[in-house]
Amino acid sequence: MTTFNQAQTSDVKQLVYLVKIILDKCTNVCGQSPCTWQGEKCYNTFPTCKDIINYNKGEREYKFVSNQAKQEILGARPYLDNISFIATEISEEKTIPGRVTLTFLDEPDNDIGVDPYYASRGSFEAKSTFWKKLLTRNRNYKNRIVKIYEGYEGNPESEYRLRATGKISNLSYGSGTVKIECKDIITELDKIEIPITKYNFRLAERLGNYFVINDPNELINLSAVEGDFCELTNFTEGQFKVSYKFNTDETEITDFDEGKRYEYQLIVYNHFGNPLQRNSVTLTVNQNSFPELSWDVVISYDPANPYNDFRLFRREVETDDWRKIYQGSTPSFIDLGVAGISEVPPENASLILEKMYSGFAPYFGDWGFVDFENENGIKINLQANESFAKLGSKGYLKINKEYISYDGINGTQLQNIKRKLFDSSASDHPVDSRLDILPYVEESSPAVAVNKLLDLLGIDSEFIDSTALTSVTSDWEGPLVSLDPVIKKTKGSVIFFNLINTLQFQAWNNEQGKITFAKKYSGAISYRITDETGVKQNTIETIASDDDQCTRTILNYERKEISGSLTDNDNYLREIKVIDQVSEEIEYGFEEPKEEISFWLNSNSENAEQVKNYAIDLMQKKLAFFKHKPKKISFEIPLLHSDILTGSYITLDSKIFCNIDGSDFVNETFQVLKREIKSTSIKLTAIHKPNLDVTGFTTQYNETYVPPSDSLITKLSNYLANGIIVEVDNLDIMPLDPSEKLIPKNDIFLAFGDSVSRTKTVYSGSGNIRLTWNDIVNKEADQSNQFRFAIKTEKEAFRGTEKYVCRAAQLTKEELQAGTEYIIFAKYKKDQADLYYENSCYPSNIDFDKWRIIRRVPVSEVSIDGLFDYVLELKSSDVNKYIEIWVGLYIPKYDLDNIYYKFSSFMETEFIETISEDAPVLPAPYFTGPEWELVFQINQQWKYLIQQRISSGFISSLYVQFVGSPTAQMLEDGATEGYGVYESKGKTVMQADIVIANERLINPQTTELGTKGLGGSVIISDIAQIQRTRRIV
Amino acid sequence: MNSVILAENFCEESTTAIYATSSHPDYPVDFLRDRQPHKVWLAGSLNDQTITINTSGNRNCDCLAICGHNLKGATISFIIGSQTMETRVAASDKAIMFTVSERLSSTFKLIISNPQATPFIGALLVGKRIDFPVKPNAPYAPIEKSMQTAENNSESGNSLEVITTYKQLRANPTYTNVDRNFVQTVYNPFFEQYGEAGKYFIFAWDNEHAPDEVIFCKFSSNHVHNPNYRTLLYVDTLQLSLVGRQ
Repeated sequence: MTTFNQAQTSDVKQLVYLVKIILDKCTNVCGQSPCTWQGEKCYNTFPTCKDIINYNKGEREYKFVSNQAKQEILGARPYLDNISFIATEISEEKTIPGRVTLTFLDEPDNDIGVDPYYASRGSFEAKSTFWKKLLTRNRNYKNRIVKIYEGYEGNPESEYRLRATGKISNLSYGSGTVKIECKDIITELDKIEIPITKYNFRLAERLGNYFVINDPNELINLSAVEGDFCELTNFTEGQFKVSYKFNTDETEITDFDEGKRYEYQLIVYNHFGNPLQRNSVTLTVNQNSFPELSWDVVISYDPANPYNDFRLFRREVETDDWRKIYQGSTPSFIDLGVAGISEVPPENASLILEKMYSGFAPYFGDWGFVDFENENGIKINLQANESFAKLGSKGYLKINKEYISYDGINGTQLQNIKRKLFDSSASDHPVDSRLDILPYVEESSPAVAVNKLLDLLGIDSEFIDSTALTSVTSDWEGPLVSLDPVIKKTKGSVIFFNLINTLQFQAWNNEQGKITFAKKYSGAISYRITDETGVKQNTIETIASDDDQCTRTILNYERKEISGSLTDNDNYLREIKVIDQVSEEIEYGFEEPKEEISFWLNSNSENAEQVKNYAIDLMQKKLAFFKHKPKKISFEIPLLHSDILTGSYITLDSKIFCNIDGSDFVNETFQVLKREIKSTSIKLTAIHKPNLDVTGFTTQYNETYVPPSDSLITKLSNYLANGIIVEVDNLDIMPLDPSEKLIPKNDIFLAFGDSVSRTKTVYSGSGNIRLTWNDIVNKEADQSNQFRFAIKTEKEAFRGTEKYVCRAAQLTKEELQAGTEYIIFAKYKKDQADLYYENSCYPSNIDFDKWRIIRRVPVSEVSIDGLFDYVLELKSSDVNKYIEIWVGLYIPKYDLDNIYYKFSSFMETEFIETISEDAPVLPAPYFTGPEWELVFQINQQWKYLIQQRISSGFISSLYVQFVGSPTAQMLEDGATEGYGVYESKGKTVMQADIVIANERLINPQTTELGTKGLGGSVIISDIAQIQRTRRIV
Repeated sequence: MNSVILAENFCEESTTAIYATSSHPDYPVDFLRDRQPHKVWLAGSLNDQTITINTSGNRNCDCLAICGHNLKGATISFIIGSQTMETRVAASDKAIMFTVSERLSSTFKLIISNPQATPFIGALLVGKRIDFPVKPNAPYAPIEKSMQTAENNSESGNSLEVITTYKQLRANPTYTNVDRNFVQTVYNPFFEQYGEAGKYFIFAWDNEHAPDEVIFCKFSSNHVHNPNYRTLLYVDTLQLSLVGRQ
């Protein structure tokens, strides 16, 4: 026996191939537990199994060697007649998978060694042939593994070297021979189409129909049934406190009898007139003991049982003379001992109606109710058919024609479902409906992204060369990569190789059948090949590569619309162009672009610069590599060098090329792109890998403005109309100056400050921001300077001078006339309500990641289309001036220090620059108070409540007060915390539109509401206005 | 000794039982129930081994042959019934044939003593041999070998390696003046039963004087069976074209 190396380096040798085919087998013994079959034996394969329920899948290896080989490998049948290789080839865009065709001889066989139960069959006669029987008993051979080893006569089996691994793709039987075609495992990626349907995720329960309503009353007319979903676009949830206090003005209680004891009951009613809660107190009217008159009632708001109004009953103790002395939702009344209406308070005031679960849910009779679970409450159960690890903790799915997302998995239950994504339509999905996976990868390191994607695409980890992956990613210095959900029909290989190209890697199937990886432009030299000792005679030749030459490279990245095309450049926001102008203008005289798209490069405010620089690097290297058309050659090598594998880096000394001075190519680096096995030699295709010189290239960076989609505008408008802005995925920005490239981001943030002290007042995260003159003048140190409403955005948004800048409305202090209020709607999201930094104007934990500006609003417009139509109505007689209201979107991640720093950056640079450029003159005759009117619209719930009160006749004026919220701080007159109350004061309240412009705020704690008797107020705190999608159960 | 063919094989009969002192579980002694040398019986240990073949009834037997083995250096004995017919030390791993006096028995044994490695055997044939009535014509080349090679030279002309791609062992004995009765009653039935079926058999052109030139073979694909090639009134000429291995 010889070693492989001994045989390989000997002068004379006989090449022997060893092929191992791994087929299924049952690991049970037929007729023995757990197998229950007691008849004629099977052949331990599935097609012959008699007890399929207990079939236990295992593997069985069949070995074959070249038919000319000596009998040196026990158990190997000498049937292998021929091997034909079509080798894998690493190419620029996508690796061409390899293919092998194996031809086997056949002969009669008596089944001994194949049939485990041959002895029981009573005959050793060779019935039929080996292959016929094997294929008949193993018709499930497709996709089973085939391994091809290379060795030499005299080598023991252990010395054979694995040269190829594939899966059986086709098989044909001829006269005495069998042909088996095998393909690289990487071809699996071509077969997988997106959405990925190969997994068997199915609904374990019905995912009901879906209704969108703006008004809860619409529910009444819906044909909803149990299990359907209802989306209320204007739902408000929160906790309500009822604070009831007696007015302590003793002069106003003269209508009460001194020394008598009165019992009060405050009862909360829902809007169906059902009493929900009761709070009672017995008081003694005694001018000398007023503390007894203090009575606080706190009733927690229950979303399932929202109140409609409060009713106050009073009687003199030990009498039955109950009087209803007040009914309304804002009991700021004065009880002067009015007689009231004779009415006994209800005995049961803790009524919980089983079928009535929402302030917005009308009673549906017997069929159910809208179940307002907590915000993350929408769940759906799947059948336990598959490993849920495949889904990941967050992802996107397609069910019938609807796209949904989830944000958590608990057992077999998907959490936090969002429906009808990406402009899809929601529909009723019955039990057992199939869910297909949409590839989606959150920001990840390259190794994680590669593994995640391959896992999604169904490539088992055993077929991934993790060592190589670790090697190429260990020194990764580029940005994290991510993949937005892919919903268009796409081959898995397209997504995979796009990632590989983005990472500047190569990927192919190695000899072990694993998908392996290498860096595109560098690698360790493993061999030196020369004309003297390595290149087989008369086999070396160059391969035309003129088509590969280019003079500029273009990369488009960051997809705009999920529902848009994956491969259309126009659906990408950013573009990098790297141009070799010298080549274009002088050397070659033509322009030849290489254009590509990256699905995987996506930026945010944190890494935008890094991503951009990486994209430039990507394109620069590509241009450097291709600008002089890379030298490509093919040649054959003896078996002596058969360890040179696909992807290997070699150095070559050859006369095939020469240098400028005519000398031969010596020690030049090539990478093997293709390795074809011939009968007595190996043919290599290799490409020259010169040092990359990127000097002299020019770079262009472009962004594309994408107007918001109509549906988005409509959606957002609807929300804004109700005082709500919800998360919006793709809100885009229209810059006033098109040269100012804006970065579309998410979420809203608003800030303002002055230019000298740079005291920043940052309002963000919640609520409708109301700024008054006093807000500004009292807070800002330098009252003589200009103020800006500022919006956080990014470097690219403003001439690229700073990473973060802020600016917004160009308003001087003079423009901010005392008494004028500017109301700007900002993001109001439940989980950000607590982000406000107490006693400070700086929000904490706010992420400025993903900003975008919605629109600049010329003042000349009386009304603004789209978003602001419902939010802000600007009127001005001065058509030459404008106001910019910048509204951005944000997500909550940042810490306070970061915000402060970034804001400072803005203040020191762009902000000042803006002053000089855009508002240089003071005083400017900008807006004056009377010319302004800003209309504040409140959300649907309040509309509803107000309507109720108006209709009940118990409301003549309305107070809306915000306490404890960021809004409250903004409403405050000069103090650092507090609250404000707005009173409509006799204005006609039309529907839910409450006109609050040009009105003074008053504070109930500092301003007397009533002058006599008992007074009170309703305080509404912690309002969280969010989009609600809830399930009817 | 005249040429001998062993084609009959008791081991392949369903009624025959085969035992071995020990067997590797993946390479049972039943692998000797055919004449496919790649299906190998492998002993379970390096110890002495006995392979016992029990036919269902008494059979005349005068020959045993093995090929595809690793018994070089081991002492091997052929036993019919209780009679040791022949013992020898295997000189190589090439095919070995025992040609002994015919005996009637139902038990036949091959005893392997002092094996140098865990013994295995690819094919074992035991049965009644065919004795040719004459020797092959002279001159006779008992083993003809041919091979196909390819030489790889470098771009500069240096010889780098020689690759053997094909090897074949041939034997082409010709027998003249063969008694027609032998042809018609022995050789033709043999050819029809084994030769036409493409089955392997053991051929020894002179097992007495050239025991190392025994081959495990079959008729080549271009063999022409022409028993009517008559040279004289009662004698025929046989030309065998064999391919195989040692």
